[in-house]
Amino acid sequence: MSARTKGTASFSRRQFLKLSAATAGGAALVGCQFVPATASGESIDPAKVPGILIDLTRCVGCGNCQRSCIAANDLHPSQEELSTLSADTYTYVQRYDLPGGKTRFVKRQCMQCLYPACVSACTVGALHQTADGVVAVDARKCIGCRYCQYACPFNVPKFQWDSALGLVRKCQFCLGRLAQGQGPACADNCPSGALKYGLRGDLLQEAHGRIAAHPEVYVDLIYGETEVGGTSCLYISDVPFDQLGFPKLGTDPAPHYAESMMKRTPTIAVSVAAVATGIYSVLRWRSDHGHVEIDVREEK
Amino acid sequence: MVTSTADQKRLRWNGARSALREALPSYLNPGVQILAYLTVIGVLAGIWRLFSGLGAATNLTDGIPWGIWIGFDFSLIAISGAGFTMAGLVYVFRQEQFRPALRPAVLTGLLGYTAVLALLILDLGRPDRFYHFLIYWNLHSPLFEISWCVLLYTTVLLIEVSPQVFERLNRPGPVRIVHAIIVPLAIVAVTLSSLHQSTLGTLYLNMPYRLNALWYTPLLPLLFFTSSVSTGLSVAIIAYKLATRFTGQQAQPRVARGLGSLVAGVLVFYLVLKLGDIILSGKAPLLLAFDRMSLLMWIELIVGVLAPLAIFLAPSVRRTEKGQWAGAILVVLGTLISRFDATLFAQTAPPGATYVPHVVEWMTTAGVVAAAALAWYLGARLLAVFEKPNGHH
Repeated sequence: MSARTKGTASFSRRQFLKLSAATAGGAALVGCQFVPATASGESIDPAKVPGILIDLTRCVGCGNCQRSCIAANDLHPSQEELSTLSADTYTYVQRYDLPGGKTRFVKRQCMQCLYPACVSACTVGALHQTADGVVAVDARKCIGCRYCQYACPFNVPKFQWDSALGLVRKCQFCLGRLAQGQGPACADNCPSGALKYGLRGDLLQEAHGRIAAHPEVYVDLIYGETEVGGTSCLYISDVPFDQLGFPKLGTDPAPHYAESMMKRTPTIAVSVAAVATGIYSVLRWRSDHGHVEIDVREEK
Repeated sequence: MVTSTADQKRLRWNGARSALREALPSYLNPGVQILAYLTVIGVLAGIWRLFSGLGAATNLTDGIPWGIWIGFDFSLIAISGAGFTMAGLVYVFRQEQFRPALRPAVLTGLLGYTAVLALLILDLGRPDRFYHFLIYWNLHSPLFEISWCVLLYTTVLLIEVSPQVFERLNRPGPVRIVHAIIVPLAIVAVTLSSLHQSTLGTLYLNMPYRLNALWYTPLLPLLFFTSSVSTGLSVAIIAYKLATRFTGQQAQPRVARGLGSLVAGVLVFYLVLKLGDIILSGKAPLLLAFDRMSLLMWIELIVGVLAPLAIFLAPSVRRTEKGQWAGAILVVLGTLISRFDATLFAQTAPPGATYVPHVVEWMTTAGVVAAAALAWYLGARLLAVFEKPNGHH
């Protein structure tokens, strides 16, 4: 529109348009270098991500996972915090007394999404996915804005409310232990065999195997195989998952919706600047060439 | 030459000082005093919050981590849309008849965004790291983009407001410079505002499992942008009326009337978008359920859209002073409700989570808003909030 406008001011307008396009493009390019390449999970091999298979039929609710988590991560939870996720409780075991006298224990922790919404939402990129696919928080970057708490479909990230300088914290899959060739503290210290640490692909195979071997026991679903694009913490159970507080989620990656808009940012910026420049140029040209501008000054 | 400039300077300052001494009593009216008290209380409460942390100063929890700070913050961003809508109207669309309302609106924009920044910093767990978004980038994050746009646009607003200061100080040089770049500046203002006003809607797209279905729609970015335009124009009406009142100037009736018509047009567009989306996506039963969520949406629509639309569409009401005030205030009120719905009331919190704002949250919010209002009042009285006739170009 503006490119065709021939008028007194069109040269400088066109220059300005080019400049704004170049600025937006340049900013996008510069910015890309700061974004971890795996921000939305695209370059992660879902089969090679470290994960945990949680078999709810085998959990006896001993709480050893929580105790070893607290020790491994040097956490200092209060008594009440032990029965919930908090900035000092990265995992806990939730007890369900079901009709018919059945009791089941469900270990909660970060689900380690393949497409983590918290990472996508994080204002400063403090939440990130490591090259291995583990979702972790960089405590040096976090500003405590708490947007991740709204983005997470599992309600996992927790804030340090008691601290004057509070940050968001959550399970980071014991990154330090992983680097030393160990598994996460919770999985390594599970005495009942309810937790199994391994690569996600292998764990899925194992889970399918257990369900196939005992179809009369297990619900035919691996929670986390497809939920919000897949998670590295996988659950199998003999009780339907909706009775155990698992949210019913779609298979679309959770950050998909906002990211589809965010990636249009440069286009929107350039389009708006171009249209505004065009409108101005046309109106300016019309008034400079004696066209009557709409002016209601006379109306009273 | 040197002495004469120095003399001039001294004369100017002496003149300003005596003018201030004469005018001072008229500034100490009850309204100003109340705003000043609220500001002082807010500053003290804010300092206390910065040293005590969020757990002690707020009633926010992991279940409901965002409260009235964020609610007022996101409302204030829409309210501050007065700046870009009026700059766009006058400089891009060249609607000269609205020029009288430009400067009060731009002043509102600048002070509004300053208040936004103050509230945002109060809300951060690490206020000392407020600048981190400059260093650590995440282009996927709506809040990252909003942070950048707000910072850049506040800078633009500072430049846009500066002639009001320089004219008062009799410095034509800087005023000429700003006038020379004012059109590109207005285009930058419109671009940055289109981005972050819509991205505020995108922000909620990351909450598909938390935000109620009546609010959650892929159209959120467009809805947020549209409502920032209707809100900005309504605030421009209010700012113009107040500025003429405080400066004793005669208000031109066609300014508020014309802006009112524009608000009506934008509201019609918003209503078509909103209802069209609800009907086409099959959510009409949710709207007609008349449960808690449905009633919330109806309140939002009636207060912020339908009632002001009725006012601004009726020529006989649109012409009246009362009609213009009522219409503009209703639009702003509706925006407050809509932003609070999206941030708090229409959010599905985990079972058992409750939130009643802490008194420190109220005191700081009131303080920040009062400080902005006080600064606006002083600005309207002390700065060149209206252009001299034929003073432009």
